[in-house]
Amino acid sequence: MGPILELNNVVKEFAGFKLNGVSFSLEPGFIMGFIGANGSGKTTTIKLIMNLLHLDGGDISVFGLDSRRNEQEVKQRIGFVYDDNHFYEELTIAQMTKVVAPFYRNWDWEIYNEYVNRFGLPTTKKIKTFSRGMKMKYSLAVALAHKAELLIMDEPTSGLDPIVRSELLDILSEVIQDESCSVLFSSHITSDLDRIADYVTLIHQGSLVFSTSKEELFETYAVIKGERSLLDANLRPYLVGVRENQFGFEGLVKERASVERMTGGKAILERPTLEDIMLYYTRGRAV
Amino acid sequence: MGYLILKDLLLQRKMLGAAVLYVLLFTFAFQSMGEGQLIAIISAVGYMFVMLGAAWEEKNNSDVLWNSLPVSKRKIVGAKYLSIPVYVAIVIAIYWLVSTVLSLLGDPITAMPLDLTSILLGVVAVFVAASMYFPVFFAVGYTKSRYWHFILFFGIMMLGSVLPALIPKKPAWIDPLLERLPELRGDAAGAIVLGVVVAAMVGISFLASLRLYGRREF
Repeated sequence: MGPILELNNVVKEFAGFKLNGVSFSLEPGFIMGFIGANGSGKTTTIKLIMNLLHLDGGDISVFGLDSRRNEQEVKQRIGFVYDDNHFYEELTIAQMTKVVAPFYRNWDWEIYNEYVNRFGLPTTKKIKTFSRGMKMKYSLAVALAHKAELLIMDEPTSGLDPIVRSELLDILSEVIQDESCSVLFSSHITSDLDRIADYVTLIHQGSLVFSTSKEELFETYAVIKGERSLLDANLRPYLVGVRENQFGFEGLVKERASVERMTGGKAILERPTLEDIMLYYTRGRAV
Repeated sequence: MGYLILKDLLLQRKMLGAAVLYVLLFTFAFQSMGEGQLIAIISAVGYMFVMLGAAWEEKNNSDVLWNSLPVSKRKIVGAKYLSIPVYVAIVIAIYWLVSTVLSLLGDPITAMPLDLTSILLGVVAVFVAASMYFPVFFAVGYTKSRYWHFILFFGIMMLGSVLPALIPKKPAWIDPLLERLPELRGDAAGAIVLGVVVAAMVGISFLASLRLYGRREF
């Protein structure tokens, strides 16, 4: 079975911003964290996948199908949760679901009701009375009720309290248990992805920095701390970013094993968090 | 597509009270128009529903929703056009209610009885106005299309008021045409010609809306 989502050299240009030949793929049954600073191109990429924006170059295939030519078929099998609510605020979720459900051929009212009950969503209250967390949960209930094989989530945890965020992450972990569903999870809250992502894709200023498994990422990269004297011409090529102070330096290195051999125990090498990796890549500290 | 129309109706429900007031107000304001009263009410209130339907979409940024769902643009656009006869039916029902109540009160305000010709002409008026509005709405959304809406309506109103001044001398064909107007209105051939012209206009408008909506990004 091929990738469930594949982007090849995707280009999109706006005034002052260019998504510059982004390529990555997601295998079935995995969660991919899609990280990057605000304005890095995450939402643009997601909108291109959802065909909300027109491609200027490259191609996108979902379930092995061209996402443009097979738009309706692809969208039957995609669930989406966006940062903003796009459901009609003046309607109740009972009314909203009555309108939306018939468009999905695999809609399952049993699953839908199960999630609505589990999330404690009031079916007769207007969506405008919902909290941000409830709106996100409703989006998730709709996404899961039609048995989506790919969940596209654009900053779903943004603005949510830790309890709701944790609840969402638990559900996502459950959802991918049967390996029939994959998730593309865009976020700048990297701690969420530290917890659940199998793969991580980092995008910065419209360009792909890396797209790799989380395991490989933590094997490859390390946070390094040491005396400034260690910052020599041998080490600098391995440094992604560095911060120097009067006592020493702290930075992010790639090829952890080589750096470990080179420094011979004179530097402290620690497992980085996704936030460390993202910050060192995106802050562009002088190396 | 029926569910998209259902969504429009659910959103417009809270407008029903305001629509009753508008119908009552226009019944009073258009008393002197005779047979034109019903046509004017249907077109004014019917078009108001069309505009509000467009405004709800913008308010909820719903283009993102519909274009993320497995719904074709043809259905999204088509549903807006098919909502028009539904809105007109609602206006007619409200008018019937208002005119019945007024007659029970002893006709303090003159309300013309419902007649098929006026209803059809009212439907035509709403379709014509919506056909001119929708392509711009689907191209740029409600907020930007409001300017076109104002230009459209004030343009038509201004044209109506300045037209007699623009025609230096009344052409010879005007009087015979005006004399024959009631006859023409009941004339089946005339109705067919009008129907074909309006259907062509709606068809062209729909295709333009579809093309322009397809080019839009969300």
